Amino acid sequence: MNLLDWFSVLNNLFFIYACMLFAVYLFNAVMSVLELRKYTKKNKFVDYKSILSFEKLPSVSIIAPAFNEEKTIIENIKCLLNIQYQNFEIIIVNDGSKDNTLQTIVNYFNLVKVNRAFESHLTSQPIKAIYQSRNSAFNHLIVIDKENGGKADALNAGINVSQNQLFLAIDVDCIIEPDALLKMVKPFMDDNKHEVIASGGVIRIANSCEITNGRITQVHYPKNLWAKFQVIEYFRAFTLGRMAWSNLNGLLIISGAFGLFSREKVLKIGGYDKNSVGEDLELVVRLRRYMHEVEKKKYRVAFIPDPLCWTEVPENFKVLKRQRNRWTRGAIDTILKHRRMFFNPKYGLIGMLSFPNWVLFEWLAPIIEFIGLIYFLLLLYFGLVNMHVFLTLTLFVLTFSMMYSIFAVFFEAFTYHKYKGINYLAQTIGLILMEMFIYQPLNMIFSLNGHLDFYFRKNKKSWGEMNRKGFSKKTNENNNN
Amino acid sequence: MIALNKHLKIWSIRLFFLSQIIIVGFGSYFYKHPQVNLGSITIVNPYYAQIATHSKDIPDWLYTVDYFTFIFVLSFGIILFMTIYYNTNKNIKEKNDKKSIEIYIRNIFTFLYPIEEYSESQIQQQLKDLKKIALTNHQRELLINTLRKIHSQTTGKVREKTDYLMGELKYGGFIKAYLHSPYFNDKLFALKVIADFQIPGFEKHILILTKKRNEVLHSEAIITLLKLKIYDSLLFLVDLKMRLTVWDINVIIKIVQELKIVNIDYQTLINSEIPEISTLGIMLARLNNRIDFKSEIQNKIGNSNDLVNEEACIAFSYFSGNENDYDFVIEKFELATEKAQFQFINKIASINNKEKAIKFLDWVIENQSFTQKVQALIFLLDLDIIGMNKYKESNNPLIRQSYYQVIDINI
Repeated sequence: MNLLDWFSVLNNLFFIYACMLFAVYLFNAVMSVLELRKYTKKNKFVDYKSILSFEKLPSVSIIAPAFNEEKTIIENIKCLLNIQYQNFEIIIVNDGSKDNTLQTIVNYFNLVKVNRAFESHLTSQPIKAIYQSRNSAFNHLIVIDKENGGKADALNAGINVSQNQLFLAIDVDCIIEPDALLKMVKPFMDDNKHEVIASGGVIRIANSCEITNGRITQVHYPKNLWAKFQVIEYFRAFTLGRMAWSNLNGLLIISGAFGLFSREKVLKIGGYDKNSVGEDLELVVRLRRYMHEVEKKKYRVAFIPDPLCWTEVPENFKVLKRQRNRWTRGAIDTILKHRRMFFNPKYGLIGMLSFPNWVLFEWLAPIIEFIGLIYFLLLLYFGLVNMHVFLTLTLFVLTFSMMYSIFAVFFEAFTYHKYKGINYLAQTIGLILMEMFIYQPLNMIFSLNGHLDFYFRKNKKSWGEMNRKGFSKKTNENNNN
Repeated sequence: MIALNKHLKIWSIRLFFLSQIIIVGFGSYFYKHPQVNLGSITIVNPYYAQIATHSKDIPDWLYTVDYFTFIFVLSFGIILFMTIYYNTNKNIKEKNDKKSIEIYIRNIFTFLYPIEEYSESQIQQQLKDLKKIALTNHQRELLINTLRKIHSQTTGKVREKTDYLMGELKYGGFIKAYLHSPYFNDKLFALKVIADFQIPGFEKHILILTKKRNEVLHSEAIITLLKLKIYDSLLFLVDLKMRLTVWDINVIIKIVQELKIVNIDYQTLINSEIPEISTLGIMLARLNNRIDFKSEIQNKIGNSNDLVNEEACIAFSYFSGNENDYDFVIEKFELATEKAQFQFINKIASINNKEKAIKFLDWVIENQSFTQKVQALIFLLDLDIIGMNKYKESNNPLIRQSYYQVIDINI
């Protein structure tokens, strides 16, 4: 074969990869529509408040690790205390904060050190003290003070101290809808064909939203450009991607910001992996692996398409870069650790479809994209680019991407309709066109950077700082008004 | 007529989508052929000449890419239009619905809380007015839903008036049409209305729905039959084709308690071979304090199904009251689920035979799980505060920790 033949083979490979990727996206769109239909049918008329008077209801521990959160921690805990449920406890894990996080909580909630016993099923950094309030209004609040060990370590400490059947792992700075737990618990009670081992929910972007007393009172489209791009990205990821995989019972990730798990199952697999920066993905993959290898029962990881949790996303280039870099390192770490699942029929649909999808279209995508760019420049240098073919294919890719994004926007409007008005729609269309040239290439670069960090640099386990603006400022403003 | 229209609507939507698929499929074949022969009919492609000129220098695959690009652009346009339409329409619809509901509430409240005494003819006129402002199916749905909400939030005479109002609106035909509608949401709506206003006459059809494989319809039909209070024995549950979920069990119990259903056939339910039905029977017997079924419940302890075993243990410990029962509970302790074991500890700790209780609690502290140790120590604190001090220096660190927790938090 001469060089031109090799080029031709490469051309075909790139084209086939792109078509496969599009086929997966189309498949996602169809599956998510079916899943949403199923979910709406089942839950449209459900009175979730009735759960509060149920006889047989699983008990829940809400575990929220906190690190240097002194500015917002009180508002965040107040928000958690407002959650509607019958039998729950809130465990705040102060993960060796360097600021006054612990003292702020202790003072505000009138906490005292208690001798609360617990079994160390999972390894974690030493717990220095456990606090509970003498004020009965906060009697289901427990605060653990421990040495710094990272998010996974803090969650493991929280799981050790918790005593309930389920635990909800959340980011302490998230805003949870009051009925979120009621909705998340339902799948654990309404499926008698599968054992439900975990459930996840949709995360929405809270930047620019109005927040009063730890509640979203008015949803606004973010003002910051980076946050706007992420709104569309989250639509695609949650509304289309995760719902589609949920329909097939092939969901591999439950967001670390908001996920409900069976404590018993998580204890059996040894809790969160402290060495992983993608601990949320890793936990679900390991849980699934355990269910296939050990328990061999019919099981399900459920997903709730209702917007139940609101989070602040990065508003600047640096923080966004760090976040994406970490996500990539987490994904690579998990994929490598569980590589034996790849196209392994022993793991059923997970091994044959979900896991390969992660490998081929999440892990490899930025690399292939980058190689494609280099290859194109090479062809251009050698004068081997057929401009007609190039433009046709570019247009093909761009139009598909636009169609997929607008479908995600339509889907949101059709289902939850949180963003309203022509202004929002006009902005969104502009962003859909822009993101292909700005946001997506940047994401590719961030992701490649994550690859490089993972393979060649030392900071493969580092989280990096996530500087949040915090919601409390707005809250205080609202309170003063 | 409403049901027929609904059937026609659903079929026309299906036909529309089918026709779109056929058009795209046919179009992708047709665009590169000069003509297509369908039997005796020949369809000529008027754009063939232009397409052929345009495509003669490019390979087939690239032309297919072109074709798909066109489809994507078209789809983008259509979805965008739908998004704008839906967004705008939803906003307008929300506003209109809000306005309509306000009017309905005003009218309903005039009827429910009259300022003056109305004559029969005036009442009839009010009813006529109410019917006049709800002409379309959607408006009727809104009106009925508003009435349902008021019905659920009121009691006594006002609630009776909402029942009367619902009857006088004479929406029987409308509800029947919805119950037979091919749309799932319509069926659910009808079931909700029938259940809330306890409208008779649909029992047979609802009983058929309980045997449907659709889990939501199945559950809703069960709730409706329960609320209609015509199958008080609950025996219809034994004949269901689908198994109940824990959710269903909770909902059924809630309704039974709210409506104070008393003629339940506990015997058959408890002894049912279906674990969920048996669980339901046991739970209902416990909640309704039917101690006469204690021996049936006792037989279910150790059942291979966790749900049945757990509820049987809880119910039995609730009913137990003599030495034999306590001995039985102690004997079966290890067979029980964790939740039931807690119940056992609670029960034994509160018996009159203090010596037996302390002996049992000591055994739990030495041999059972950490959370049970803590629970047993809490009881021991009341029964034998001096005796429990021996755990202060226990060799087992978990017992020591539990001891200090109990001393610290519970004193």
